[in-house]
Amino acid sequence: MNPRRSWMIVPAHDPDAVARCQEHKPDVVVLDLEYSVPPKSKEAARAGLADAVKKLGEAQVDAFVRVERDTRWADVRAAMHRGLKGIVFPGPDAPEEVSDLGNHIAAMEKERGLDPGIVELVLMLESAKGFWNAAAIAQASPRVTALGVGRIDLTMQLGPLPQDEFRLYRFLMTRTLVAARMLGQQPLGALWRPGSRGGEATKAGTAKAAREARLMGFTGCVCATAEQVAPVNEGFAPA
Amino acid sequence: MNNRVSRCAMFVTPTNPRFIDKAWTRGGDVYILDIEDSIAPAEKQRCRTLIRESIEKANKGGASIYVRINKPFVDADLPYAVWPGVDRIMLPKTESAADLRHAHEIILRLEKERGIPPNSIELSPMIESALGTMNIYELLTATPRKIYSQGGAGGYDMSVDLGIEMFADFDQYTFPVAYVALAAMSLDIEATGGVFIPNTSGRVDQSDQAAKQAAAFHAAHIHHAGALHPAFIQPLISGLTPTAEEVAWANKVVDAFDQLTDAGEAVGRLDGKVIDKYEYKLAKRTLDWAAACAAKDAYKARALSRAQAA
Repeated sequence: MNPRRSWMIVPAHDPDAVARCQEHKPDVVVLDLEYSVPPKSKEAARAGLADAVKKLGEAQVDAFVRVERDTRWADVRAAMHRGLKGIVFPGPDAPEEVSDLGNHIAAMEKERGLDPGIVELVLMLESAKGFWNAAAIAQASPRVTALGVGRIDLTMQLGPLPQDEFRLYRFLMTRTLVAARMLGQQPLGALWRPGSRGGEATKAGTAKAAREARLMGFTGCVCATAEQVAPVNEGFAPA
Repeated sequence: MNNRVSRCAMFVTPTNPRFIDKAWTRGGDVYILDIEDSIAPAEKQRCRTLIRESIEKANKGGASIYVRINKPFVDADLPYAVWPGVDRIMLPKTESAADLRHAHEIILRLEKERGIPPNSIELSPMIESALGTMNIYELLTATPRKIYSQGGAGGYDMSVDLGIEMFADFDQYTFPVAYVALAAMSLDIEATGGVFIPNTSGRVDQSDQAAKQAAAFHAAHIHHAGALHPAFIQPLISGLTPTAEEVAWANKVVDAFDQLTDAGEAVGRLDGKVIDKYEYKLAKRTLDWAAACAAKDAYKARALSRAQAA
């Protein structure tokens, strides 16, 4: 399997961004139905997935679709086409949510004539409930291949500490790492710092966050913007 | 009244008239009437008998009242601690669900006997040991009573139990603090504690330390702090209250996000900063907290002027 260091978010409603996403050389393309898609463009984003997934699959690119927690059933339905590697599920709270979504994916595989079990599931933890249940959540479906730390400073309102880190951040990263490694899943995350994270992060800040995460045991992370792909690939490369 | 605002919960000893008689003039959000560590064994019984009259003395300035009881004397302490006017019972060295259920049942009986609405007095398990830390989830879910999770953030007892030197210049409570906080957050229970401020002085009375602590807590979005010395009260209260600038910014964020939503957008920019559902939630939280602080301050001001006039 190719390394999966950089998971680049590509807004699925933006045909130009989708067409050009490979120029940035991400290890993984994540077609987004969530944060980067405005509500008014959601239907267009879903409608474009069949074609985008097919093309990326033919180009041997690892193509995932990030669904929105509250609309995940319809989002998965829109994403399930030949060429899809997997689904990214942000913010699971409980094991049943993951097993239910896994079953939904299985039903869709059957309906769309895909090989049973071929579509992976990647979980991004974003809530206190999710982190408390991390190990149980990660083993709730045999499809889960990666377990990650989402934008928890925002989703969990973790403010900055005097030592230029977010409150609880290292603990939650390590808790995720242990659960992922226990289950043979890829640990995803970066040690984002206050002032350099998300779409705001500089290239240097991104490289540092990735490098520190690699030292902590992580092997890849989500890139909110195309500019982050190169520093993330570099940061997660073995020294 | 406004019990959720406890920017500064200050320990007072009911047996010391100098402290208890003046407490109401010092402006604390909360006074904790202590029957535990600040009271010598020979004084415990006298302290118990002073609790009821101490409530009315300490809350004259509009403060909420908590009572901290003794782990080995739960049965003996509670009949002296559960009275109208008491907002919360603090249960030190809580280690198991059974500890919490035992206290809860006695409080419930006393509430019924004394005309206090059942389950209205909150219960605060203080996590001060390895066992309490590891049992946190089950003890937080042990009773139907409203729970505030307290502790895990160091302190004398926790340090002794874990064999930690507490006056060190690095944070050695990362695991217990985070584990307790995560359990509480996963249950939507408010938790205190969480930001380590180096203090190698061995002293707890320095008000510059209080301002530093308040700034760190405020930045980390933590609203509650405790104090052992009155010099901490004002720095903590002002430091944990949103500033006028923060409130103005939060209002701008809410307005900008409402406009975005109307336009069918989810992410936008305001003065060069990203505005999205997360910033919106944080802004709402700031406004909500600012309003709660203002209500508490107004309540305290009214109580204070009544008390001064009397």
